Amino acid sequence: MNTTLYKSLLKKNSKLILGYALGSSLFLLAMTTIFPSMKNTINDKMSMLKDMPKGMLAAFGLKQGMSITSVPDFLSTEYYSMIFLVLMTLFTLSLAAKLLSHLVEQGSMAYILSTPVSRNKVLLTIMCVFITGLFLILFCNFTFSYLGAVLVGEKINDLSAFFNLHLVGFLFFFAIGGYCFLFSTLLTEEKKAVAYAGGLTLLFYLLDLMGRLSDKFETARYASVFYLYQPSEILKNNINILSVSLILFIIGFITYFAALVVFKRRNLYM
Amino acid sequence: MIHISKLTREFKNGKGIFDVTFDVNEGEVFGFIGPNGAGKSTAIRHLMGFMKPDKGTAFINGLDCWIDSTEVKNLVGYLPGEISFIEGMTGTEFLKMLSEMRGMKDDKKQKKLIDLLEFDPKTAIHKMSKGMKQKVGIVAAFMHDPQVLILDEPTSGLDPLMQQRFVELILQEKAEGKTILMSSHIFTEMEKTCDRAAMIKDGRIILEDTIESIRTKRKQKCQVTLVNKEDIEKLRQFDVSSVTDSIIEIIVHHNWNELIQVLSQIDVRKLHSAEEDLEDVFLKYYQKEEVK
Repeated sequence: MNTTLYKSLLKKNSKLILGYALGSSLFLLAMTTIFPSMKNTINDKMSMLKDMPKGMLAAFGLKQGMSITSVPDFLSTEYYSMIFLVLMTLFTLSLAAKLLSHLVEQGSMAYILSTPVSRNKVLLTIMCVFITGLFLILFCNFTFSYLGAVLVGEKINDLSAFFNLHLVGFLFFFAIGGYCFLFSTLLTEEKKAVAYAGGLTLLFYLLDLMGRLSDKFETARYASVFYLYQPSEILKNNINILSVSLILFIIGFITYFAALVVFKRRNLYM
Repeated sequence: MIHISKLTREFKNGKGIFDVTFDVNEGEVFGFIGPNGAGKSTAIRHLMGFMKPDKGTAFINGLDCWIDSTEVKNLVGYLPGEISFIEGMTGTEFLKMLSEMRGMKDDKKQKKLIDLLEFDPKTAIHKMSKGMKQKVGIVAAFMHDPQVLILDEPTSGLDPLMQQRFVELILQEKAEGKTILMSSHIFTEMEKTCDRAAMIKDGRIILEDTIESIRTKRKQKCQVTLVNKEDIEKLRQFDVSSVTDSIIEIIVHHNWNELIQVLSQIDVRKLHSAEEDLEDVFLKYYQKEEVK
Protein backbone atom coordinates (compact mmCIF):
# COMPACT_ATOMS: atom_id res chain seq x y z
CA MET A 1 0.00 0.00 0.00
CA ASN A 2 1.11 3.55 -0.71
CA THR A 3 0.24 5.99 2.08
CA THR A 4 0.32 9.13 -0.07
CA LEU A 5 -2.03 7.68 -2.67
CA TYR A 6 -4.26 6.31 0.08
CA LYS A 7 -4.61 9.73 1.70
CA SER A 8 -5.21 11.49 -1.62
CA LEU A 9 -7.88 9.06 -2.80
CA LEU A 10 -9.56 8.96 0.59
CA LYS A 11 -9.69 12.74 0.65
CA LYS A 12 -11.03 12.89 -2.89
CA ASN A 13 -13.83 10.47 -2.02
CA SER A 14 -14.43 11.70 1.51
CA LYS A 15 -17.65 13.52 0.58
CA LEU A 16 -19.20 10.39 -0.89
CA ILE A 17 -18.15 8.24 2.07
CA LEU A 18 -19.24 10.74 4.71
CA GLY A 19 -22.49 11.34 2.86
CA TYR A 20 -23.42 7.68 3.00
CA ALA A 21 -22.12 7.21 6.54
CA LEU A 22 -23.85 10.21 8.07
CA GLY A 23 -27.00 9.98 5.95
CA SER A 24 -27.71 6.39 6.89
CA SER A 25 -26.62 6.85 10.51
CA LEU A 26 -28.83 9.88 11.06
CA PHE A 27 -31.72 7.88 9.64
CA LEU A 28 -30.92 5.12 12.14
CA LEU A 29 -30.69 7.65 14.95
CA ALA A 30 -34.08 9.08 14.02
CA MET A 31 -35.66 5.63 13.79
CA THR A 32 -34.21 4.61 17.16
CA THR A 33 -35.45 7.70 18.93
CA ILE A 34 -39.03 7.31 17.64
CA PHE A 35 -39.08 3.61 18.51
CA PRO A 36 -40.46 3.92 22.08
CA SER A 37 -43.46 5.94 20.92
CA MET A 38 -44.18 3.47 18.14
CA LYS A 39 -43.67 0.25 20.06
CA ASN A 40 -47.35 -0.42 20.66
CA THR A 41 -48.65 0.56 17.26
CA ILE A 42 -46.05 -1.61 15.56
CA ASN A 43 -47.04 -4.71 17.41
CA ASP A 44 -50.71 -4.04 16.63
CA LYS A 45 -49.76 -3.94 12.99
CA MET A 46 -47.60 -7.01 13.37
CA SER A 47 -50.56 -9.03 14.59
CA MET A 48 -52.33 -8.14 11.35
CA LEU A 49 -49.55 -9.87 9.43
CA LYS A 50 -51.03 -13.20 10.48
CA ASP A 51 -53.55 -12.96 7.66
CA MET A 52 -51.03 -12.09 4.97
CA PRO A 53 -49.50 -14.69 2.63
CA LYS A 54 -46.12 -15.93 3.73
CA GLY A 55 -44.44 -15.17 0.41
CA MET A 56 -45.43 -11.55 0.41
CA LEU A 57 -44.07 -11.03 3.89
CA ALA A 58 -40.84 -12.74 2.98
CA ALA A 59 -40.32 -10.22 0.21
CA PHE A 60 -40.11 -7.50 2.85
CA GLY A 61 -37.99 -9.55 5.20
CA LEU A 62 -40.88 -10.23 7.54
CA LYS A 63 -42.30 -13.40 8.97
CA GLN A 64 -45.60 -14.51 10.49
CA GLY A 65 -45.66 -14.44 14.25
CA MET A 66 -42.81 -11.96 14.31
CA SER A 67 -42.79 -9.53 17.16
CA ILE A 68 -40.83 -6.33 17.41
CA THR A 69 -39.90 -5.72 20.98
CA SER A 70 -36.46 -4.17 20.80
CA VAL A 71 -34.48 -1.58 18.90
CA PRO A 72 -32.46 -4.17 16.93
CA ASP A 73 -35.67 -5.94 15.81
CA PHE A 74 -37.13 -2.65 14.73
CA LEU A 75 -34.01 -1.50 12.84
CA SER A 76 -33.63 -4.90 11.27
CA THR A 77 -37.04 -4.64 9.58
CA GLU A 78 -36.92 -0.90 8.92
CA TYR A 79 -33.35 -0.60 7.73
CA TYR A 80 -31.10 -3.65 7.63
CA SER A 81 -33.40 -5.85 5.54
CA MET A 82 -33.94 -3.44 2.68
CA ILE A 83 -32.70 0.16 2.79
CA PHE A 84 -29.24 -0.91 3.96
CA LEU A 85 -28.93 -3.35 1.05
CA VAL A 86 -29.96 -0.84 -1.59
CA LEU A 87 -27.86 1.95 -0.13
CA MET A 88 -24.73 -0.13 0.34
CA THR A 89 -25.02 -1.74 -3.08
CA LEU A 90 -25.09 1.72 -4.62
CA PHE A 91 -22.17 2.78 -2.44
CA THR A 92 -20.08 -0.26 -3.33
CA LEU A 93 -20.80 -0.03 -7.06
CA SER A 94 -20.12 3.68 -7.30
CA LEU A 95 -17.03 3.83 -5.11
CA ALA A 96 -15.37 0.80 -6.72
CA ALA A 97 -16.01 2.30 -10.16
CA LYS A 98 -14.81 5.75 -9.14
CA LEU A 99 -11.66 4.39 -7.58
CA LEU A 100 -10.62 2.13 -10.39
CA SER A 101 -12.31 2.05 -13.81
CA HIS A 102 -12.98 5.78 -13.77
CA LEU A 103 -9.32 6.59 -13.18
CA VAL A 104 -8.27 4.23 -15.95
CA GLU A 105 -10.89 5.33 -18.47
CA GLN A 106 -10.38 9.01 -17.78
CA GLY A 107 -6.60 8.64 -17.86
CA SER A 108 -5.32 9.93 -14.54
CA MET A 109 -4.14 6.40 -13.76
CA ALA A 110 -1.35 7.15 -16.26
CA TYR A 111 0.12 9.68 -13.82
CA ILE A 112 -0.27 7.36 -10.85
CA LEU A 113 1.49 4.56 -12.74
CA SER A 114 4.23 6.85 -14.01
CA THR A 115 5.61 6.85 -10.46
CA PRO A 116 7.67 3.91 -9.18
CA VAL A 117 4.66 2.37 -7.41
CA SER A 118 3.70 -1.04 -8.79
CA ARG A 119 0.27 -1.84 -10.17
CA ASN A 120 -0.28 -4.29 -7.32
CA LYS A 121 0.42 -1.61 -4.76
CA VAL A 122 -1.81 0.90 -6.52
CA LEU A 123 -4.75 -1.50 -6.62
CA LEU A 124 -4.19 -2.63 -3.03
CA THR A 125 -4.24 1.02 -1.98
CA ILE A 126 -7.48 1.56 -3.88
CA MET A 127 -9.01 -1.49 -2.19
CA CYS A 128 -7.95 -0.17 1.20
CA VAL A 129 -9.70 3.14 0.48
CA PHE A 130 -12.91 1.24 -0.31
CA ILE A 131 -12.61 -0.95 2.78
CA THR A 132 -11.96 2.11 4.94
CA GLY A 133 -15.13 3.75 3.62
CA LEU A 134 -17.15 0.59 4.14
CA PHE A 135 -15.84 0.20 7.67
CA LEU A 136 -16.62 3.82 8.49
CA ILE A 137 -20.25 3.46 7.37
CA LEU A 138 -20.84 0.26 9.37
CA PHE A 139 -19.05 1.73 12.38
CA CYS A 140 -21.24 4.87 12.27
CA ASN A 141 -24.39 2.78 11.77
CA PHE A 142 -23.61 0.68 14.82
CA THR A 143 -22.54 3.61 17.00
CA PHE A 144 -25.47 5.87 16.10
CA SER A 145 -28.02 3.09 16.65
CA TYR A 146 -26.48 2.28 20.00
CA LEU A 147 -26.31 5.92 21.07
CA GLY A 148 -29.90 6.44 19.94
CA ALA A 149 -31.05 3.52 22.05
CA VAL A 150 -29.15 4.86 25.07
CA LEU A 151 -30.62 8.30 24.46
CA VAL A 152 -34.23 7.14 24.66
CA GLY A 153 -33.54 4.66 27.44
CA GLU A 154 -34.10 1.53 25.36
CA LYS A 155 -31.94 -1.40 26.33
CA ILE A 156 -30.23 -3.54 23.70
CA ASN A 157 -30.28 -6.88 25.46
CA ASP A 158 -28.16 -8.81 23.04
CA LEU A 159 -25.48 -6.34 22.06
CA SER A 160 -23.21 -9.03 20.65
CA ALA A 161 -25.91 -10.18 18.19
CA PHE A 162 -26.44 -6.57 17.15
CA PHE A 163 -22.68 -6.22 16.68
CA ASN A 164 -22.59 -9.44 14.66
CA LEU A 165 -25.21 -7.98 12.33
CA HIS A 166 -22.80 -5.17 11.49
CA LEU A 167 -19.85 -7.49 11.22
CA VAL A 168 -21.68 -9.69 8.69
CA GLY A 169 -22.97 -6.56 6.91
CA PHE A 170 -19.41 -5.34 6.59
CA LEU A 171 -18.07 -8.66 5.29
CA PHE A 172 -21.05 -9.03 2.97
CA PHE A 173 -20.23 -5.80 1.13
CA PHE A 174 -16.52 -6.55 1.41
CA ALA A 175 -17.30 -9.63 -0.73
CA ILE A 176 -19.55 -7.73 -3.15
CA GLY A 177 -16.82 -5.09 -3.47
CA GLY A 178 -14.49 -7.90 -4.54
CA TYR A 179 -16.42 -8.74 -7.67
CA CYS A 180 -17.05 -5.03 -8.36
CA PHE A 181 -13.27 -4.56 -8.49
CA LEU A 182 -12.88 -7.70 -10.56
CA PHE A 183 -15.31 -6.35 -13.17
CA SER A 184 -13.54 -3.00 -13.04
CA THR A 185 -10.24 -4.64 -13.90
CA LEU A 186 -11.71 -6.92 -16.58
CA LEU A 187 -13.62 -4.26 -18.48
CA THR A 188 -12.27 -1.09 -20.02
CA GLU A 189 -15.38 1.02 -19.72
CA GLU A 190 -16.57 2.33 -16.40
CA LYS A 191 -20.26 2.08 -17.38
CA LYS A 192 -19.91 -1.54 -18.41
CA ALA A 193 -18.13 -2.45 -15.18
CA VAL A 194 -20.91 -0.89 -13.12
CA ALA A 195 -23.60 -2.54 -15.26
CA TYR A 196 -22.09 -6.03 -14.95
CA ALA A 197 -21.43 -5.78 -11.21
CA GLY A 198 -24.85 -4.24 -10.60
CA GLY A 199 -26.53 -6.86 -12.78
CA LEU A 200 -24.87 -9.69 -10.92
CA THR A 201 -25.90 -8.22 -7.56
CA LEU A 202 -29.50 -7.90 -8.77
CA LEU A 203 -29.44 -11.48 -10.01
CA PHE A 204 -28.21 -12.67 -6.60
CA TYR A 205 -30.94 -10.67 -4.93
CA LEU A 206 -33.67 -12.08 -7.18
CA LEU A 207 -32.45 -15.64 -6.58
CA ASP A 208 -32.66 -15.03 -2.85
CA LEU A 209 -36.08 -13.43 -3.17
CA MET A 210 -37.42 -16.36 -5.21
CA GLY A 211 -36.19 -18.77 -2.60
CA ARG A 212 -37.91 -16.81 0.12
CA LEU A 213 -41.17 -16.41 -1.79
CA SER A 214 -41.70 -20.03 -2.61
CA ASP A 215 -40.61 -23.30 -1.06
CA LYS A 216 -40.20 -24.75 -4.53
CA PHE A 217 -37.27 -22.46 -5.21
CA GLU A 218 -35.73 -22.81 -1.78
CA THR A 219 -32.50 -24.15 -3.31
CA ALA A 220 -32.09 -20.99 -5.41
CA ARG A 221 -31.12 -19.19 -2.23
CA TYR A 222 -27.99 -21.26 -1.81
CA ALA A 223 -26.67 -19.94 -5.12
CA SER A 224 -26.95 -16.37 -3.91
CA VAL A 225 -24.52 -14.46 -1.77
CA PHE A 226 -27.56 -12.86 -0.08
CA TYR A 227 -28.19 -16.16 1.66
CA LEU A 228 -25.23 -15.31 3.84
CA TYR A 229 -26.82 -12.09 5.04
CA GLN A 230 -30.05 -12.64 7.03
CA PRO A 231 -30.46 -9.83 9.55
CA SER A 232 -33.37 -11.23 11.57
CA GLU A 233 -31.73 -14.65 11.86
CA ILE A 234 -28.46 -13.09 12.96
CA LEU A 235 -30.28 -11.17 15.71
CA LYS A 236 -31.94 -14.39 16.87
CA ASN A 237 -28.51 -16.05 17.03
CA ASN A 238 -29.69 -18.70 14.57
CA ILE A 239 -26.64 -18.23 12.38
CA ASN A 240 -23.15 -19.55 12.84
CA ILE A 241 -21.39 -16.20 12.64
CA LEU A 242 -17.92 -17.66 12.39
CA SER A 243 -18.63 -19.82 9.35
CA VAL A 244 -20.68 -17.12 7.57
CA SER A 245 -17.94 -14.57 8.20
CA LEU A 246 -15.32 -16.98 7.00
CA ILE A 247 -17.19 -17.77 3.77
CA LEU A 248 -17.75 -14.06 3.04
CA PHE A 249 -14.12 -13.33 3.79
CA ILE A 250 -12.96 -16.11 1.47
CA ILE A 251 -15.24 -14.89 -1.36
CA GLY A 252 -13.76 -11.43 -0.85
CA PHE A 253 -10.20 -12.69 -0.65
CA ILE A 254 -10.50 -14.70 -3.87
CA THR A 255 -12.14 -11.89 -5.85
CA TYR A 256 -9.70 -9.22 -4.63
CA PHE A 257 -6.81 -11.50 -5.42
CA ALA A 258 -8.23 -12.22 -8.89
CA ALA A 259 -8.66 -8.46 -9.48
CA LEU A 260 -4.99 -7.92 -8.55
CA VAL A 261 -3.86 -10.65 -10.94
CA VAL A 262 -6.00 -9.29 -13.80
CA PHE A 263 -4.92 -5.70 -13.22
CA LYS A 264 -1.24 -6.59 -13.19
CA ARG A 265 -1.48 -8.23 -16.61
CA ARG A 266 -3.93 -5.92 -18.28
CA ASN A 267 -3.18 -3.58 -21.15
CA LEU A 268 -4.09 -0.05 -20.16
CA TYR A 269 -5.16 2.23 -22.97
CA MET A 270 -4.45 5.60 -21.44
CA MET B 1 19.31 4.26 -23.35
CA ILE B 2 15.94 3.55 -24.95
CA HIS B 3 15.93 0.46 -27.08
CA ILE B 4 12.85 -0.66 -28.99
CA SER B 5 13.16 -3.76 -31.11
CA LYS B 6 10.56 -5.24 -33.47
CA LEU B 7 7.80 -4.01 -31.20
CA THR B 8 4.45 -5.29 -32.45
CA ARG B 9 1.00 -4.93 -31.05
CA GLU B 10 -2.09 -5.47 -33.16
CA PHE B 11 -5.51 -4.28 -32.07
CA LYS B 12 -8.77 -5.96 -32.94
CA ASN B 13 -9.49 -3.41 -35.66
CA GLY B 14 -6.26 -4.30 -37.48
CA LYS B 15 -4.49 -1.12 -36.38
CA GLY B 16 -1.55 -1.05 -34.04
CA ILE B 17 2.21 -0.93 -34.35
CA PHE B 18 4.27 -3.34 -36.39
CA ASP B 19 7.97 -4.13 -36.16
CA VAL B 20 8.80 -0.77 -34.67
CA THR B 21 12.53 -0.57 -34.07
CA PHE B 22 14.63 2.37 -32.96
CA ASP B 23 17.20 3.38 -30.40
CA VAL B 24 17.65 6.60 -28.50
CA ASN B 25 21.19 6.98 -27.24
CA GLU B 26 22.13 8.48 -23.93
CA GLY B 27 22.08 12.26 -24.00
CA GLU B 28 20.16 12.37 -27.23
CA VAL B 29 16.90 14.12 -28.08
CA PHE B 30 14.79 11.98 -30.37
CA GLY B 31 11.74 13.25 -32.24
CA PHE B 32 8.85 10.96 -32.98
CA ILE B 33 6.63 12.20 -35.75
CA GLY B 34 3.47 10.92 -37.32
CA PRO B 35 -0.12 11.74 -38.10
CA ASN B 36 -2.88 11.14 -35.57
CA GLY B 37 -3.56 7.48 -34.97
CA ALA B 38 -0.26 6.40 -36.51
CA GLY B 39 0.86 4.64 -33.36
CA LYS B 40 3.07 7.17 -31.58
CA SER B 41 1.19 6.94 -28.30
CA THR B 42 0.90 3.16 -28.55
CA ALA B 43 4.69 2.86 -28.84
CA ILE B 44 5.10 5.26 -25.91
CA ARG B 45 2.61 3.28 -23.78
CA HIS B 46 4.80 0.22 -24.26
CA LEU B 47 7.77 2.16 -22.94
CA MET B 48 5.71 3.09 -19.88
CA GLY B 49 4.74 -0.55 -19.28
CA PHE B 50 1.03 0.13 -19.76
CA MET B 51 0.84 -2.45 -22.54
CA LYS B 52 2.39 -5.81 -23.16
CA PRO B 53 3.83 -6.25 -26.65
CA ASP B 54 2.54 -9.11 -28.83
CA LYS B 55 6.05 -9.42 -30.16
CA GLY B 56 9.32 -7.59 -29.72
CA THR B 57 10.80 -5.76 -26.77
CA ALA B 58 11.18 -2.33 -25.25
CA PHE B 59 14.05 -1.57 -22.91
CA ILE B 60 15.07 1.51 -20.98
CA ASN B 61 18.56 1.44 -19.52
CA GLY B 62 18.63 -2.33 -19.84
CA LEU B 63 15.34 -2.83 -18.00
CA ASP B 64 12.41 -4.51 -19.74
CA CYS B 65 9.57 -1.99 -19.88
CA TRP B 66 6.88 -4.61 -19.22
CA ILE B 67 8.57 -6.96 -16.76
CA ASP B 68 10.51 -4.33 -14.78
CA SER B 69 7.97 -1.55 -15.28
CA THR B 70 8.13 -0.38 -11.67
CA GLU B 71 11.93 -0.05 -11.68
CA VAL B 72 11.81 1.73 -15.03
CA LYS B 73 9.64 4.45 -13.49
CA ASN B 74 12.52 5.44 -11.22
CA LEU B 75 14.43 6.61 -14.29
CA VAL B 76 11.64 8.13 -16.31
CA GLY B 77 9.59 11.31 -16.40
CA TYR B 78 6.44 10.95 -18.45
CA LEU B 79 4.03 13.41 -19.99
CA PRO B 80 0.94 11.65 -21.37
CA GLY B 81 -0.62 12.80 -24.62
CA GLU B 82 -3.99 13.18 -23.03
CA ILE B 83 -3.98 15.36 -19.97
CA SER B 84 -6.41 14.25 -17.31
CA PHE B 85 -5.74 14.63 -13.63
CA ILE B 86 -7.65 13.34 -10.65
CA GLU B 87 -10.66 15.61 -10.31
CA GLY B 88 -11.27 17.62 -7.19
CA MET B 89 -7.61 18.41 -6.54
CA THR B 90 -5.59 21.56 -7.04
CA GLY B 91 -2.45 21.55 -9.14
CA THR B 92 -0.35 21.87 -5.98
CA GLU B 93 -2.05 18.91 -4.30
CA PHE B 94 -1.64 16.80 -7.40
CA LEU B 95 2.06 17.61 -7.75
CA LYS B 96 2.58 17.01 -4.04
CA MET B 97 0.91 13.60 -4.31
CA LEU B 98 3.12 12.57 -7.23
CA SER B 99 6.31 13.85 -5.62
CA GLU B 100 5.53 11.99 -2.40
CA MET B 101 4.74 8.83 -4.35
CA ARG B 102 8.14 9.23 -5.95
CA GLY B 103 9.71 9.68 -2.53
CA MET B 104 11.15 13.06 -3.50
CA LYS B 105 12.85 15.00 -0.77
CA ASP B 106 13.23 18.48 -2.19
CA ASP B 107 10.95 20.51 -4.40
CA LYS B 108 13.55 22.98 -5.70
CA LYS B 109 13.22 21.84 -9.27
CA GLN B 110 9.43 21.81 -9.03
CA LYS B 111 9.45 25.47 -7.92
CA LYS B 112 11.92 26.38 -10.65
CA LEU B 113 9.71 24.81 -13.29
CA ILE B 114 6.60 26.57 -12.00
CA ASP B 115 8.50 29.87 -12.19
CA LEU B 116 9.70 29.10 -15.69
CA LEU B 117 6.24 28.25 -16.98
CA GLU B 118 4.62 31.12 -15.08
CA PHE B 119 1.44 29.65 -13.67
CA ASP B 120 -0.40 29.39 -10.41
CA PRO B 121 -0.63 25.73 -9.41
CA LYS B 122 -3.02 26.48 -6.55
CA THR B 123 -5.92 26.59 -9.00
CA ALA B 124 -8.40 23.71 -8.88
CA ILE B 125 -7.75 21.37 -11.76
CA HIS B 126 -11.25 21.50 -13.21
CA LYS B 127 -10.92 25.28 -13.52
CA MET B 128 -7.66 25.09 -15.47
CA SER B 129 -7.34 25.82 -19.18
CA LYS B 130 -5.81 23.23 -21.47
CA GLY B 131 -2.51 25.11 -21.57
CA MET B 132 -2.37 25.33 -17.80
CA LYS B 133 -3.03 21.62 -17.39
CA GLN B 134 -0.25 20.99 -19.88
CA LYS B 135 2.08 23.05 -17.70
CA VAL B 136 1.17 21.00 -14.63
CA GLY B 137 1.87 17.88 -16.70
CA ILE B 138 5.26 19.21 -17.76
CA VAL B 139 6.19 20.00 -14.14
CA ALA B 140 5.10 16.48 -13.13
CA ALA B 141 7.33 14.96 -15.82
CA PHE B 142 10.44 17.04 -15.08
CA MET B 143 10.28 17.74 -11.34
CA HIS B 144 12.15 14.65 -10.13
CA ASP B 145 15.04 15.34 -12.51
CA PRO B 146 14.78 11.99 -14.32
CA GLN B 147 17.49 10.61 -16.59
CA VAL B 148 14.98 9.81 -19.31
CA LEU B 149 12.06 11.95 -20.44
CA ILE B 150 9.20 10.55 -22.48
CA LEU B 151 6.96 13.34 -23.72
CA ASP B 152 3.85 12.79 -25.80
CA GLU B 153 2.98 15.99 -27.69
CA PRO B 154 4.52 18.20 -25.00
CA THR B 155 3.69 21.60 -26.47
CA SER B 156 0.04 21.04 -27.35
CA GLY B 157 -2.05 23.76 -25.78
CA LEU B 158 0.91 26.04 -25.03
CA ASP B 159 1.06 29.56 -26.42
CA PRO B 160 4.07 30.57 -28.60
CA LEU B 161 5.93 32.17 -25.71
CA MET B 162 5.56 29.06 -23.60
CA GLN B 163 6.54 26.87 -26.54
CA GLN B 164 9.74 28.90 -26.66
CA ARG B 165 10.26 28.40 -22.91
CA PHE B 166 9.71 24.72 -23.41
CA VAL B 167 12.37 24.58 -26.13
CA GLU B 168 14.77 26.28 -23.72
CA LEU B 169 13.90 23.74 -21.06
CA ILE B 170 14.57 20.83 -23.42
CA LEU B 171 17.93 22.32 -24.45
CA GLN B 172 18.87 22.78 -20.82
CA GLU B 173 17.97 19.17 -19.98
CA LYS B 174 19.89 18.01 -23.03
CA ALA B 175 22.94 19.96 -21.87
CA GLU B 176 22.67 18.09 -18.58
CA GLY B 177 22.88 14.83 -20.49
CA LYS B 178 19.27 13.70 -20.29
CA THR B 179 17.84 11.30 -22.83
CA ILE B 180 14.64 12.62 -24.33
CA LEU B 181 12.00 11.03 -26.55
CA MET B 182 9.27 13.37 -27.66
CA SER B 183 6.50 13.27 -30.19
CA SER B 184 5.57 16.49 -31.88
CA HIS B 185 4.05 18.07 -34.97
CA ILE B 186 5.88 21.36 -34.86
CA PHE B 187 9.01 21.36 -36.94
CA THR B 188 10.69 24.50 -35.63
CA GLU B 189 10.53 22.97 -32.20
CA MET B 190 11.95 19.67 -33.43
CA GLU B 191 14.62 21.45 -35.45
CA LYS B 192 15.80 23.42 -32.45
CA THR B 193 15.88 20.50 -30.05
CA CYS B 194 16.15 17.08 -31.70
CA ASP B 195 19.25 15.26 -32.83
CA ARG B 196 17.37 12.57 -34.71
CA ALA B 197 13.81 11.87 -35.71
CA ALA B 198 11.67 8.97 -36.86
CA MET B 199 8.39 9.08 -38.67
CA ILE B 200 5.68 6.54 -38.04
CA LYS B 201 2.75 5.96 -40.37
CA ASP B 202 0.09 3.26 -40.07
CA GLY B 203 2.06 1.70 -37.26
CA ARG B 204 5.34 1.36 -39.14
CA ILE B 205 8.50 3.44 -39.01
CA ILE B 206 8.97 4.80 -42.52
CA LEU B 207 11.93 7.04 -41.92
CA GLU B 208 14.66 7.50 -39.37
CA ASP B 209 17.36 10.06 -39.86
CA THR B 210 19.32 12.86 -38.21
CA ILE B 211 17.63 16.25 -38.16
CA GLU B 212 20.72 17.63 -39.90
CA SER B 213 20.32 15.43 -42.95
CA ILE B 214 16.57 16.01 -43.07
CA ARG B 215 17.28 19.72 -43.02
CA THR B 216 19.69 19.55 -45.97
CA LYS B 217 17.19 17.55 -47.96
CA ARG B 218 14.59 20.18 -47.36
CA LYS B 219 13.96 22.48 -50.28
CA GLN B 220 13.32 26.16 -50.27
CA LYS B 221 10.38 27.77 -51.94
CA CYS B 222 10.11 31.24 -53.37
CA GLN B 223 6.81 32.88 -54.09
CA VAL B 224 6.85 35.82 -56.50
CA THR B 225 3.93 38.14 -57.22
CA LEU B 226 4.42 39.83 -60.59
CA VAL B 227 3.16 43.15 -61.87
CA ASN B 228 2.97 41.88 -65.44
CA LYS B 229 1.57 38.42 -65.93
CA GLU B 230 3.63 38.01 -69.12
CA ASP B 231 6.82 37.87 -67.09
CA ILE B 232 5.84 34.42 -65.92
CA GLU B 233 7.38 33.00 -69.06
CA LYS B 234 10.78 34.36 -68.05
CA LEU B 235 10.61 32.31 -64.87
CA ARG B 236 9.62 29.06 -66.56
CA GLN B 237 13.29 28.00 -66.68
CA PHE B 238 13.14 27.35 -62.93
CA ASP B 239 11.40 24.51 -61.13
CA VAL B 240 7.91 25.96 -60.98
CA SER B 241 5.62 24.22 -58.54
CA SER B 242 2.49 26.27 -59.08
CA VAL B 243 1.10 29.28 -60.92
CA THR B 244 -2.01 31.12 -59.80
CA ASP B 245 -2.90 34.25 -61.70
CA SER B 246 0.18 36.47 -61.28
CA ILE B 247 1.63 34.50 -58.38
CA ILE B 248 4.27 31.97 -59.18
CA GLU B 249 5.88 29.53 -56.81
CA ILE B 250 9.35 28.27 -57.51
CA ILE B 251 11.34 25.55 -55.81
CA VAL B 252 14.92 26.71 -55.41
CA HIS B 253 17.67 24.13 -55.68
CA HIS B 254 20.66 26.10 -54.42
CA ASN B 255 20.31 28.38 -57.47
CA TRP B 256 19.33 31.55 -55.65
CA ASN B 257 21.80 33.71 -57.61
CA GLU B 258 20.35 32.82 -60.98
CA LEU B 259 16.85 33.46 -59.71
CA ILE B 260 17.80 36.85 -58.29
CA GLN B 261 19.43 37.84 -61.56
CA VAL B 262 16.27 37.04 -63.49
CA LEU B 263 14.08 38.73 -60.91
CA SER B 264 16.15 41.92 -61.14
CA GLN B 265 15.06 42.27 -64.76
CA ILE B 266 11.33 42.02 -64.09
CA ASP B 267 8.79 44.01 -62.16
CA VAL B 268 8.17 42.27 -58.84
CA ARG B 269 5.33 43.34 -56.59
CA LYS B 270 5.95 40.94 -53.74
CA LEU B 271 8.60 38.39 -52.86
CA HIS B 272 8.20 35.72 -50.25
CA SER B 273 10.45 32.81 -49.49
CA ALA B 274 9.67 29.89 -47.24
CA GLU B 275 11.18 26.61 -46.32
CA GLU B 276 9.31 23.45 -46.96
CA ASP B 277 7.74 22.42 -43.73
CA LEU B 278 8.43 19.13 -42.09
CA GLU B 279 5.21 17.60 -43.21
CA ASP B 280 6.10 18.22 -46.85
CA VAL B 281 9.49 16.66 -46.37
CA PHE B 282 8.07 13.63 -44.69
CA LEU B 283 5.24 13.40 -47.14
CA LYS B 284 7.77 13.20 -49.90
CA TYR B 285 9.58 10.40 -48.12
CA TYR B 286 6.31 8.71 -47.60
CA GLN B 287 5.34 8.93 -51.25
CA LYS B 288 8.73 7.57 -52.21
CA GLU B 289 8.16 4.65 -49.88
CA GLU B 290 4.90 3.93 -51.62
CA VAL B 291 6.46 4.03 -55.09
CA LYS B 292 9.00 1.43 -53.98
